[in-house]
Amino acid sequence: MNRAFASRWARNVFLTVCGLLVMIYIGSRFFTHIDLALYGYMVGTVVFIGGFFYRFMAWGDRPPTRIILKKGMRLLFRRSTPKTAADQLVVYRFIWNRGWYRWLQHILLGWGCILSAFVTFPLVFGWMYFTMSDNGYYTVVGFGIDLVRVKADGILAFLFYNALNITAFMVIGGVCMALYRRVRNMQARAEQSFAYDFLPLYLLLFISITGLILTFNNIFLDGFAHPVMSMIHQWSVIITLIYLPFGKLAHIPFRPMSVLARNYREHYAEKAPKACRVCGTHFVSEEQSQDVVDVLKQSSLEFVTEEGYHLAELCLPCRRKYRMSRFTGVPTHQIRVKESNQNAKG
Amino acid sequence: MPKDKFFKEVENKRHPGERLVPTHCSYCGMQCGMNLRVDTAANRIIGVEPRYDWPVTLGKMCPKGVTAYQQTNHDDRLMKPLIRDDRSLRGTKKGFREATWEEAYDLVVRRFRELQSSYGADSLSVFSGVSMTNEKCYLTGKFARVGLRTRYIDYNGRFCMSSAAAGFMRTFGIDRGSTLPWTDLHETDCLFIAGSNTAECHPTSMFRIWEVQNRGGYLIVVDPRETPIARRADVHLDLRPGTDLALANCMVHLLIEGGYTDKAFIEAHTSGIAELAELVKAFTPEYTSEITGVDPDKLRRAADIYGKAPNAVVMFARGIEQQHKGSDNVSAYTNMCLVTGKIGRPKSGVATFTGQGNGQGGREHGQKADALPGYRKIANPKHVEEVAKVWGIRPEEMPQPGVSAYEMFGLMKEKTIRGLYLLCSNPAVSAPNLNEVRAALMSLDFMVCSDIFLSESAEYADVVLPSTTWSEDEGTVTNLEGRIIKINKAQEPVGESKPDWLMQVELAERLGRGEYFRHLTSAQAINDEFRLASKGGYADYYGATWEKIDRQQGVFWPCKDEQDPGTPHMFLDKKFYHPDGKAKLCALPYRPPAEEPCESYPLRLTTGRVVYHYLSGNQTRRIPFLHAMCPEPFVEVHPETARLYGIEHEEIVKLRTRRGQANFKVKITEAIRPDTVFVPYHFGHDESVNLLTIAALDPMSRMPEFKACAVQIDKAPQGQPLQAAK
Amino acid sequence: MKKHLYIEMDNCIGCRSCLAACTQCGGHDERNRNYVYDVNPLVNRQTIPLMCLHCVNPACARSCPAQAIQVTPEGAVLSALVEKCIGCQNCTIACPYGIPKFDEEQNLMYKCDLCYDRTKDGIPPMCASVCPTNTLQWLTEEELQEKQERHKLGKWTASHIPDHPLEGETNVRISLPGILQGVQKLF
Repeated sequence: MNRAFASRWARNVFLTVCGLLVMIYIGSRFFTHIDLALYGYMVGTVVFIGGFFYRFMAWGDRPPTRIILKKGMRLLFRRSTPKTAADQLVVYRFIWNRGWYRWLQHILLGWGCILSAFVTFPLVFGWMYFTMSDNGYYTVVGFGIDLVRVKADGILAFLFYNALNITAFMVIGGVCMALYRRVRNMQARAEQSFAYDFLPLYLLLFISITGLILTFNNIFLDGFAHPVMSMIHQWSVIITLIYLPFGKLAHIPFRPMSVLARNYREHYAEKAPKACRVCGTHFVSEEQSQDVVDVLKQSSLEFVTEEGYHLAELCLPCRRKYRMSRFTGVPTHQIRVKESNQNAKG
Repeated sequence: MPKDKFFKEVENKRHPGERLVPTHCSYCGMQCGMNLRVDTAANRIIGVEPRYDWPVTLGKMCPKGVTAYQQTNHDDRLMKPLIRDDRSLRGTKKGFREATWEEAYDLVVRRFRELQSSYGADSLSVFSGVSMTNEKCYLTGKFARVGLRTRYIDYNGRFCMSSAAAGFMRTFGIDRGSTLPWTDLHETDCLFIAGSNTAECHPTSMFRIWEVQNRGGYLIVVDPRETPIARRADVHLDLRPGTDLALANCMVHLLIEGGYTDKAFIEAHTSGIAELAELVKAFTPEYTSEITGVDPDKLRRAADIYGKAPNAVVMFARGIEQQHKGSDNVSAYTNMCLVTGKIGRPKSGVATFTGQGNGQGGREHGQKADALPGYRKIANPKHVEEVAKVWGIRPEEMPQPGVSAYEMFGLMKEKTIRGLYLLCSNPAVSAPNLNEVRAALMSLDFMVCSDIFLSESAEYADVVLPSTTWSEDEGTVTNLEGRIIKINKAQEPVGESKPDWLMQVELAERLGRGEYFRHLTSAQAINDEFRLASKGGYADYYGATWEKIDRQQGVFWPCKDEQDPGTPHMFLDKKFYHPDGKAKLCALPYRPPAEEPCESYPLRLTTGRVVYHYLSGNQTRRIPFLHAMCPEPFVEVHPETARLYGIEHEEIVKLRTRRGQANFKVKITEAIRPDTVFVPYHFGHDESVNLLTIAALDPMSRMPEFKACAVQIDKAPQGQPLQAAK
Repeated sequence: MKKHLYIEMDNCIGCRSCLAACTQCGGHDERNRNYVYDVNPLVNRQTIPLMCLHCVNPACARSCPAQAIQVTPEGAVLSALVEKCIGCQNCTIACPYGIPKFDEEQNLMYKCDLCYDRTKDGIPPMCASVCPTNTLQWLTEEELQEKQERHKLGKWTASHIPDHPLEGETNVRISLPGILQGVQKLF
């Protein structure tokens, strides 16, 4: 099978695109409900899949990434996974802990984008469409199954038509917050670059605004310039999709890795915690300590102490005190005295 | 001023929406330059940025300085006047209610008037401090004498700089803490530093001090503890606490014996050599070693180095000054400069490390019981006349000299003093023999305290007035070099807080003394009057205008008029300030500490500071970073002593003297003499080491002997571990 | 002009001003990223600061599965990019000096970034700006050269050389205790 493809990348892309086609075939009732006005998105999606696999596989090939991916995937079905995933991927608890501003910005941006995708792509692939059998009622069809009947002028229907408008406002709000932070925050100003930090924000802003203009034209201007705006909007989405795996927005599809990392740390720490070679404190898992040693070896980094331990086997305070001993000859790491506070906040 | 070798041209980091206000630190006498970062829209101090172009410290700051800005908008700041109606709650934080300024002023004025009409003008007292600007220090002296018309005013410099002042006055006839600017220090060839834990108390001097060694010069440190500066010293004279006078006499003995004296200089510019030479004869290294416990060879080596050095600076601090012979120690160490002629020229001289921010300026302008602005004396009718003229009172109206800080507490207990106006000080932590002091505060009929936080001393007050931090007002301060510098205002006062000078002007108005204070409507106006009041005095500030301070990056006093650029180096003309123009060599017989170890109290207790806290800790203990770094006091014990008592690192023990006791956590270290224990004094309530210290006063300076008393360690009884004081 | 952080260990007095100042850097979120150690706490007061040494081949970045740790053209090894850090803590285990700190709540690693917002504009980092003893200095290549010659310093810019005080080439230069060895006394 593997020899049938030029590379693993080609294989993965081929299989994914085929899978997608099958899904479209089924979802759209054998291609009967494809909205051909949206074909551009389909092309964009295929290109995105190619780019995504290219980037993800290059990334996953790095030794430290491979370890966490492999071991994390094996542990995917831990009991704590749903909670970890909800914390990290749904409510962004860790970002909340970094401050309410960034949390709100991420909720707006993140969920604005995700909800938009949940509305747009089922429509594009014909997985979801609306039919009107009775007057005044729409039937929402998902994967060929009638899901729900909604009153055409009801609240639910209103939300369905305007979903993308609402998410557009969310994204615009989030982008504005992000831009404001990038202008004010000194560290952000120091590290940011246009291509990496600003471009994706402008792209999202462009998509949202052109989308809203589309709605505006339809409602207030009787569809004035609709085809042109529609093309501009469609192209802005396609360009963003193509760009997505290669810029800052890549952290969206890669974020689930943090769930894997958490599982990896929790599982192995329960199984076999690593005791510091000097003071005996548990500070990590045996597995991770060894994995890091192995990973570093592949980068030709090997830190061995006088006693023959690898430095990754020492807890952090002992490792720092061991450095004192290297600087002075005094065995600081062997002196059993509580270290002075090193983490006082300003 | 020429830039020294450490100076580097650096642009400051500027953040959008912020401005930088150049000023100085709120804490010690180094008065390190700093820029406060102020949010322009909110007009609020939000951070600090180094002031790279300040010539003394070049942007350097200790951890206190870095975090000093956090005082201004601290949650604990007093926002409104507080009144306590229930007097039985004094000595606690309880029972205060917020009041308006009018109500607080009315109460203060009513009670002051009642006390003065029943018990006389002198029944009121003012206890002040020198962590505030010259303008405030000056006005406080005037307020006591003109506003309250009491003789009883003194200040916390009695626990700080008074010995240095008295010693220098006796030797030179003038008291400027340093005879040379700090920018000379790194160019000298030998530093002889006695009783100064410089690395912890004046850290931003350290880069200059290390540079002396890097250049091949010598560092001699006299200290019972191996402090971070003593660790790297070429010679560390680890003497017993309280024996400095013997060591200083021995140094002079060895300098004479080694032929290091400058006979021409002694002849022309000093008096008293014969008596001195006679007295120090007895202080051979061997005899001195018996008293001080220092190896005779180390004494010889130290004297040789100092004697041979082409240029040398003798420096000292509270270690030698906070003794009941503190002023003698100052004069005795200064003798070293005089017999060798290493004074009155650049890169040589003598300096004391001023403790408080304005310890120098604050003692010159009339907050002392016996002094008037410009270092004038109340005992001198001509001086009184000069000041009375500026103040617009008749000379007869000038109150008589009062008593020193610690003695005021005695008068409170005797009911001679019945009312107290306390500002800018926290004697319930910083005074010696605290059980007595706290009882004295309890015995007051009325006490008003002005502070930025509710200090331990404010707990004894009936009325607490919210004062401003240094960053909410402007004015001048005189740093440890004698350089007058400018503090700038960075934000408006928080809440309803007011600067102390404004409170005094407003109180004076209500006391019916407004005519003497009404014109003082700003710090600048006070500065104008105060420069005039100092004109012609020893400490002449007349020419030190705010404009000149900005232009010259500080002005060294004396600065007599507009043309005078000031006096960075003292005595360049070899003229001293005694009537004969000569410096006095003082022959000072050795006296042991007031309380020597005995069978019941076999160890010596000495006190001092840690780098994270300032004085009573009222400010620094509230700063999260500083508190996290040093949350509680400890007692340093030598491992040999610990073995003898069977105590271990981190164990809690009880320290006991004839005056009091307190529990402390043990810190074992070989960096202290086995016969001595050390406790830092920054902590309040039952964590105060000053519950144990002795109030033996220096006869000249009235400085208590914080640095040496006899103590015993009690280990916890079996099975009943002691609780750390809280 | 490339500048280096230079640590003259013998000067340290343990005031931890560098830690306090670290919290004041524009983007440091009021958390300090450095360490100061008592070398022999029961014996003397010697202290030494330990900062990120900004390795030329940084183990933290090599061990990061998310490529979150960037190295700037000037050689500063930055804190983990917040959007990339997945909280695995490999970097804290990999660093031979134990430098990176980890915030469990924020699921985020943070470390010394040499005050990149300052140093990229040629302004010294906060720690070296405030250090009252010149233990931490911000030096040009020429000034470092001078130090090296003056103190007869070796490969590590150290005043006396045990076999291997460090684990690899670093952008931060150090001088081990004993700076006064070989100083010619004036008299």
